[in-house]
Amino acid sequence: MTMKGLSLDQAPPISAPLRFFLTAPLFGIMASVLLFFVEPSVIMSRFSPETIAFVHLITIGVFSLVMLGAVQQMLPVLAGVTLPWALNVARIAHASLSIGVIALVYGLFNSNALSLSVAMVLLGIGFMTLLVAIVVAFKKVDNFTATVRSMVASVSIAFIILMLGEHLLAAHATQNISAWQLILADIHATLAIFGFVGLLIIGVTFQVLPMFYVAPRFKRFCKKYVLWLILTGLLVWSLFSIIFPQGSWLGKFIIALFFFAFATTVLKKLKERRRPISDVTIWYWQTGAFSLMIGLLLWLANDFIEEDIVGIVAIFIGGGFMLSIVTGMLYKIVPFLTWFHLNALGYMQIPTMRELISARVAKVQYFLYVSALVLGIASYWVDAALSVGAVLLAISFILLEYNLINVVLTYIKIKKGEPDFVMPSMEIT
Amino acid sequence: MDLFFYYIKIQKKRETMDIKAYMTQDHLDCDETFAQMENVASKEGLPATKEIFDKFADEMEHHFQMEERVLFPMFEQKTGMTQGPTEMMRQEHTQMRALIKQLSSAQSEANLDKFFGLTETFMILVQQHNMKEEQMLYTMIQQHMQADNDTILEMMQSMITQ
Repeated sequence: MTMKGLSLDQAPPISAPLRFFLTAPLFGIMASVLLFFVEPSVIMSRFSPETIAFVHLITIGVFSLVMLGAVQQMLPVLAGVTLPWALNVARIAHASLSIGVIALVYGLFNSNALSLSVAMVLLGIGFMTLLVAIVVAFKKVDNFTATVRSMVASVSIAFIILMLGEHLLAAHATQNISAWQLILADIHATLAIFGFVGLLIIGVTFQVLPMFYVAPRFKRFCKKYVLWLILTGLLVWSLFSIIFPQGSWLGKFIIALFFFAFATTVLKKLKERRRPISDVTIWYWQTGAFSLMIGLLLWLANDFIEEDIVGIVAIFIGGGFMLSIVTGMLYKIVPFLTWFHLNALGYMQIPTMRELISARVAKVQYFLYVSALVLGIASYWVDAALSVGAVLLAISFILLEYNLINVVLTYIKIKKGEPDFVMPSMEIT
Repeated sequence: MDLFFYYIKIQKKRETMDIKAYMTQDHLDCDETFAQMENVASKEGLPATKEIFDKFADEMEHHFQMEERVLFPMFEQKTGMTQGPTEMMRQEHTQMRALIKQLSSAQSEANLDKFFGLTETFMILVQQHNMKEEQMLYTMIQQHMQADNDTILEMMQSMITQ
């Protein structure tokens, strides 16, 4: 039994996760700008270079950065282990992923093989550095809770997603795309959404909802079996997509069923929460759960109707569900990190969580984000809605960045002063 | 007859209760009082919160002391680990006590914004602390102290907060 996770000074240096959190909204702004300049018909076609570029600015630039940044921070608390070589891993992964995404977007827009090759190398380095470090950390875990199991599954699937992504990127770089690649792209996307991000969110939710809101704990059944059921669904779906596409809806149905159950459970737990607070993070959870439910129904329906509505499904699940949860998480984690590190350094006069982030600006940010989602869906019928939605999305990301930077500025300002007292053996930088 | 069932129930509770379960339940009880306190504060205002705040502060202090005066010293004696996890938990207790003190002054000043800002910070701090205890420290303690389980439980239950 190790004790490392218990020590405060095992928390990674604050700059390790913060760099991920502060960069993510910038990619969100970039994605919004891209969205503003493209034709609605182009972005609704899922395999156009513009769509692939936009999607990866969001999925790698925003989701992966935030989630991987959060994992670094949560490992000591949720799993009792720390990331090895924390700061260097963070530096390498953050730089490689950030530059890699930009190279990817540039390469896709200009069909530039060199740029795409650079993206292949950098994204490979970025993801591998973090994933390997996380696996090394997992090897020290003694207590495999439901949350840790979900994290292990999520990270394992991330390796597969990365390999498929690299393969597809190579196909783009060499302009050699066949029907086979389209199937692989489908598997890459589905595993990324439901396997990597989905399972990670589920695992963290088991802990976070009871924690932050004093909501009832999740039932044993949820914690024990949902992971395996979803993994079965993912496996069935992936295999059938390759060998027997007509039957792939079965896997889809299993995946959708249990994510739907998860969404309803989240709403129920939130309703039964004991704390009276109703801040923006609660709205984000609720928006996320509702969007997930609608998105799943449309995803299932997509198999049985003429029209391809996968674009709308993506807005609900990627925009409504994942972006909601990720943003809500940022609003909790960044102010707390600031407070925690300052406090551990011996500063006593620290603004409270509420003073660190303006609730008013956060609310405006939330409404802009929801309006952008609605306009994104409307753009399916009304072309003009897309550019307005893109502008609102950009402003919402700018406000998010503003909120987060404000917190960090407060941290820097306070840290310039002398601490009220120095706690022994609690040196955190 | 009722008394008989009551006796059985008590015996059963004693048999099944281990340190880890007992302390985890105490965390949940403290969470519950904390949520009640927030509810009173948001519905009836801070002046009306005095009573439940005191109850909450007492429960927290009682929990800290069960650990600091009984559980941790016995664990340290048995394992010889005095600078390890227990020390870290004590430092986090210090952080929490400081926050409770700030909460108390926010309550008496009737500063609602400050109060809820502090509860937010407190909640995250306390929950990540509980998680480390429930998932690691209590598990370690249960492994090392199984033989003294009942003695320790009795000592903690009969302890009077200082």
